[in-house]
Amino acid sequence: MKQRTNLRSEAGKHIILIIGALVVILPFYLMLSFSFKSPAEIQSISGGFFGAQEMMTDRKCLKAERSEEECTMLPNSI
Amino acid sequence: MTQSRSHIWFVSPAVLLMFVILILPVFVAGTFSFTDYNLGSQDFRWVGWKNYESLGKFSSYKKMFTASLTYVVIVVPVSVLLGLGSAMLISSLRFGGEFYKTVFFLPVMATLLAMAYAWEFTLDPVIGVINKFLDDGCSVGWFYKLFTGSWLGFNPTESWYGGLCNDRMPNWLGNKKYALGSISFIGIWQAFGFNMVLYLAGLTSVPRDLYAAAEMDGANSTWEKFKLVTWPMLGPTHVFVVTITSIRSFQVFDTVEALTRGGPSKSTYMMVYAMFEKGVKQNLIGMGSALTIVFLGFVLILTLTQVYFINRKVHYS
Repeated sequence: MKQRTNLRSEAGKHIILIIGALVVILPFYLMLSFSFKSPAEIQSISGGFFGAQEMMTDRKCLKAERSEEECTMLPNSI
Repeated sequence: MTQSRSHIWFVSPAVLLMFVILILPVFVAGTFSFTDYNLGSQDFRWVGWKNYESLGKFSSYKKMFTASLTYVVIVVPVSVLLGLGSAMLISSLRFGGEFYKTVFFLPVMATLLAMAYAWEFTLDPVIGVINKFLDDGCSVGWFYKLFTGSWLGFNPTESWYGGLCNDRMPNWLGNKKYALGSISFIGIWQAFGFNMVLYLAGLTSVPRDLYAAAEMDGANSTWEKFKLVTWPMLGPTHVFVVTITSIRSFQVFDTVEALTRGGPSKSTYMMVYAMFEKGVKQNLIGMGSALTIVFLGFVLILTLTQVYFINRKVHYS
């Protein structure tokens, strides 16, 4: 009986600490996730953790009269 | 018998450095605070107490004192209690303590300016995950009931969260009703991990036999042991933690500069930000120096209070 109470109390402590840890980690998680996503995915809160990793074209680069191949890249390689 | 004076030669470099680096700038700031000096100008006028009088006269400085004190009053107790609570929970765990210690200490190690931008994204009214989470919660029955208090019989539309669900989610950093609370939340998030480490160190120094003695005297519950043994034995730690957290709270700058720049309507206009704005941005060295001296006064009072309590009141050993 006492062992079960101890287990419950231990589980309760872990639940409280996990909730706290989630709040603490939230901005770190978002910062890491945003580093993989395109601006459009960040603004629409979509694409999961890594984003779709689709190739994107830099319009400023195109305006500078560089080739489309040069201006197309993965979101996190800008 | 001639007394050797060699000790003066050993001490003088340290004294000289302390005077040049610590004391002289305070005297210079104190002198400038009585002038209207602007950086780069050839001359200045002595204006007496005018800069200090401005601090009590203009509403922006009154708002500055209100915002700074409110911030300290929110951040210090909450981060101290969270630090103590998490330290006690972690120290009583059988496993996993090291993981939580590492996670809770992460914000202390992180650069606050960078993290402020991460929080800006998190708290953004349109793309922020906090508002997305709250917005999604409006359509989840148990979540809506929990946060509106309707499970206790309250009218959900009259509650804060119910009002948000019917209207729109808050602009956490752009609305003066929420801005100071949001900045304080980030302050608590950053500060409590450091307090946790200090309390963990304090808890290891509480002798175990005191708990056994308290049990023999009839203190059986966890609360009684905490009240009679843990809390009083942590006395010096409390004083140190409260003083350090208060000083660090008065020094808040990064989050204000990155997120609100003192606004909206000066609701987050903190002392160090005001010093920066007056002295650096607006080049009003006299006013900036007066703010610095007042700020130093606050920190000095806190430090002297700590010294008083540490020397007289809180030692049990």
